[in-house]
Amino acid sequence: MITAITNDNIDLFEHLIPDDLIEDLLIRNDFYGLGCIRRDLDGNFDGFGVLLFVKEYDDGTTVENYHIKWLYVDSSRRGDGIGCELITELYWDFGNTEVPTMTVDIPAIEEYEGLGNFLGDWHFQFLPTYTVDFEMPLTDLKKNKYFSKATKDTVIKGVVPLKDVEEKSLKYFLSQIRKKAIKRGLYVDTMLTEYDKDYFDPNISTVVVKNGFVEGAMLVHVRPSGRLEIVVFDTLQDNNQMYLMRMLNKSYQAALASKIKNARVYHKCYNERGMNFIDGLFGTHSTPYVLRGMIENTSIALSSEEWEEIKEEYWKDNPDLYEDVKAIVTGNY
Amino acid sequence: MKNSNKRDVFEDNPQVEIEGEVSDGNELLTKILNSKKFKDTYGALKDTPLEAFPFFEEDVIENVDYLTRKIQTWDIETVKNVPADELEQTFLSLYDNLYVLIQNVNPFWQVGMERIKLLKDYQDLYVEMLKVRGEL
Repeated sequence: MITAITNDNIDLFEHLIPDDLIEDLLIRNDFYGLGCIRRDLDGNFDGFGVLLFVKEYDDGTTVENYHIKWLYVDSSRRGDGIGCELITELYWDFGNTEVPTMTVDIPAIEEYEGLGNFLGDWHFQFLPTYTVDFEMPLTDLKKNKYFSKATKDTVIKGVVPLKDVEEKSLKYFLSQIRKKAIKRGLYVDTMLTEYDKDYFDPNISTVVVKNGFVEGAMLVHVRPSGRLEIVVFDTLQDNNQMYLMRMLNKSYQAALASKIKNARVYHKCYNERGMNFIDGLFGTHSTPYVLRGMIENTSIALSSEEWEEIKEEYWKDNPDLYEDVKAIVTGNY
Repeated sequence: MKNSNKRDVFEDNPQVEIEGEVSDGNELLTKILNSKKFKDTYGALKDTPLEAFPFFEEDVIENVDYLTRKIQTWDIETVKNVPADELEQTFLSLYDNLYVLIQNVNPFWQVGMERIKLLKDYQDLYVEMLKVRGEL
């Protein structure tokens, strides 16, 4: 049977989910988990499969996409319909909303072929592409010309760690960054609206303060796996990009000093331009190829009866289209 | 220049010619199955465990009917006494058949959503039965 994964029952599913995603489930409000419970050999109920997905917002209020983050079934219980049970539950939820699309990214390697075939059976259509997210080990940055000279004693003008900044001024900064993102049609991270100071590392995150105002910030969240996730890396004014380099240097020093195991720098890029910019700063990295699957929510499309009702008015409003369609139907184009 | 290595794909898949007019799908199917060309090509498969014919939705619906009737005959005493394994397996095989029906159409068309709703109803019924048995 299917159950939503909550703080109360997460013990049943912990062995099926990576640490980073457990953290997401517990902290983030846009992150959801479904779990499948079956009887084990002793007759007790136990978790055998999980499906985690995130609801992606366009402007902080309307959901524009469901993105499947993690679909995993216990290796000893595969082929028992656990994946099907999870995905039909998700389809029921998705089909009853007005969200237009659902997506999934699968690494384009042989190991994940089975998962691709499974989702293909469930009408996902795949296209090969590559991820624009940036990720590289922290140790690789030593070779970078911007960071090679930095030591922990180097003083960087105007840049302070997050712990020295008043919460009020940072909140104002984040609200401005959010407006900027919405204006440019970029993805808006929900952590900007539900800001919680503990979410960002107080030492590795750095901020530029000028006349009591926060001018720029590099806010880093440290994952249990050692991933240093750069959530915000921006300045209020576009002509203040020199601040970015200063903040990077300061954060790099702090990251080295904190001696996190298996540390990797990660930044979620939303387009190729963003990735090229980050790539230029940190140095080139390998871009893993993925299969990007998508399924459209056709339950929100017009039914044939609804179309019959509005048909005449629609053609009156769009006479050009009518001629085009007529030409295609009659073959005279 | 003619490429002699090029294989004629139709050689292996002969088209069955139907004589006369056919009025419905069943008649057409019977004619195809009885035609000589079809028997020559696919007749050898008859004794093998391979499935020579495409999947027919009616077969799956029959399975669903059978399992539904089985569940409907249970009263509360039976639900309490039926072995846990049998109860779980009955519902799981019912789900399996419903998955096939859902996959066979676009899940987000009306018919697809109706089939998912049917699946969800049976899932709820299973949970209710577990509650009656005092296992949840």
